[in-house]
Amino acid sequence: MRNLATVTRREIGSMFLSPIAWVVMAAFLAAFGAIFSFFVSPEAQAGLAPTFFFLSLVMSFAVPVLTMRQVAEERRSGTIELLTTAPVTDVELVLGKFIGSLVFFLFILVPTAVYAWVLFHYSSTGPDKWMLASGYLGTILTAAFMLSFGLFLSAITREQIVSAIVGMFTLFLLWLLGNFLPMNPPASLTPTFWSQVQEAAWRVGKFLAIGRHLEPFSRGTVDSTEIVFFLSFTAFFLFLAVAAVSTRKWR
Amino acid sequence: MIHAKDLVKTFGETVAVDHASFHVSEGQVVGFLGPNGAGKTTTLRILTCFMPATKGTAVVGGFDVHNDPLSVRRIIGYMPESVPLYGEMRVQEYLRYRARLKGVSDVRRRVGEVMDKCWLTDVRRRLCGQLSKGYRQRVGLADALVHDPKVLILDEPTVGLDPNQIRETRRLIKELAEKHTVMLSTHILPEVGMICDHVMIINRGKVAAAGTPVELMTRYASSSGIVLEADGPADRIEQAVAAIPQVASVRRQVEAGRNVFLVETRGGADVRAEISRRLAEKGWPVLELHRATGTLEDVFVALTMREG
Repeated sequence: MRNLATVTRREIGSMFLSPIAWVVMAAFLAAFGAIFSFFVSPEAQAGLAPTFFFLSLVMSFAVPVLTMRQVAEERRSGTIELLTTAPVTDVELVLGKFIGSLVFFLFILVPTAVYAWVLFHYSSTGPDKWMLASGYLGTILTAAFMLSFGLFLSAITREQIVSAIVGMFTLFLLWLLGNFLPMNPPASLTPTFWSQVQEAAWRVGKFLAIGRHLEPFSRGTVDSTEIVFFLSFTAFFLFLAVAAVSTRKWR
Repeated sequence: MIHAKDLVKTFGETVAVDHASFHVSEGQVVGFLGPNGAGKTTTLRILTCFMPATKGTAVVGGFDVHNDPLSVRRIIGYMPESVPLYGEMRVQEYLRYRARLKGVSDVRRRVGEVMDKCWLTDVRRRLCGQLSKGYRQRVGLADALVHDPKVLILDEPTVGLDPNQIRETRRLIKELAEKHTVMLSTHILPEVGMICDHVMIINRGKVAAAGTPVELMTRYASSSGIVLEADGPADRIEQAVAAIPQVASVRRQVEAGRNVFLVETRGGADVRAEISRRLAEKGWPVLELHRATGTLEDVFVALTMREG
């Protein structure tokens, strides 16, 4: 536990010392502001639902940049040798890095409280505060999923850029999937082999589309299924990251 | 303290370590010698649990590197060859981080101590990324020491340092040797004689020889040579010595008007008495007569060039 805290602390420190993290933060907040001002209008319901939705798109580009260094840089500079010869387990290492990046993400999210304040202050009805809270919860869960995925990519590559590009590309595809996938499976009156393949593909796509899982949260629905979805994927990628860190030693 | 048995490490087709077995007792300072690419770093990396061996076992301080790597890491202080550091951290901050990671109880006091010991106190607020090679090396050493490990494993601790720093580092290692078991790799031969009480020569992944420097020199530097300096006519001295049956060759070395000869004998026979007697008969005074003891360098060359 103590090691975990040490690794986490160091990871947060390295995030705050890295210019990339600050650039990501600036870009993220600028995007948040732009999306917010685009969707806020006297007619619309006071809330952040559309903002959170488009925010997930911004995040699929911002998060891989945040995570690309995490393991790849240690490997490139050779400091991985110091970490893996210190009395720290690979689980502590990966978990510490993950928690560190999550804390930094939460820190990025703090200034967005300004927009919540704006809603409370200027809207006649005021936003539904529970809807706001569930929107934030969904965003944080999405971030956890993306951060673990990014960490895993960083653990399997030596080049930061490769890890960032693969991450962005994958997350962007998943985001698109959430938007362009038809709401219902492709219908056919006579089920053929091909139509069944199509339906199976649709189900897989629906399962993987982040947007579909995030959407209930921005509507104010906290569905345990969706919480489990995000948490289990996060755990899965963290597990893969641990495996990647330990098997890399075997080469 | 360190027992390695039949260590093998292959990278694809390449065999880096080939059935290496060795033993390091508590309190020894072992110099690990070998040409570039002999498998020094790989062996050290196996001992520090950075990479597992393909085959074989290694036990450090009673803990198996494969089954109980965390216990091994706890008692080992390791300085990798390239001394990687986090460039954006300050020296003191970095050492405190490392101390916490290694479970040091009184981090502030202990880091202060090792910074004193490694002459780092003046640079404690400097960024690691801006340090010169010599200072980086010292930070690496301080890091290796910070948890007061039983075993210190140093991969080329003096490479890239200037002569003064090399002397300081050697003094420090000697000082450390009083309380720790030290294993250091190097390819600077005189260094081994200066700091190490044991030597291990590795070549092509195999342990070619191990023992104290003196042992190795007597065992492997089989120079059956005898150095002779005598006063008298050089040509005739040469003939007289060459006439001794066991003598294989006599080489004359021109040394500022002195008659110095290098006498090689068959099977390392000691013909000093015979030489002395024959020259005395002719009335040529013997000024110097001794066996040519091989240097560690001779041993090294003999062992590592043999198959090359």
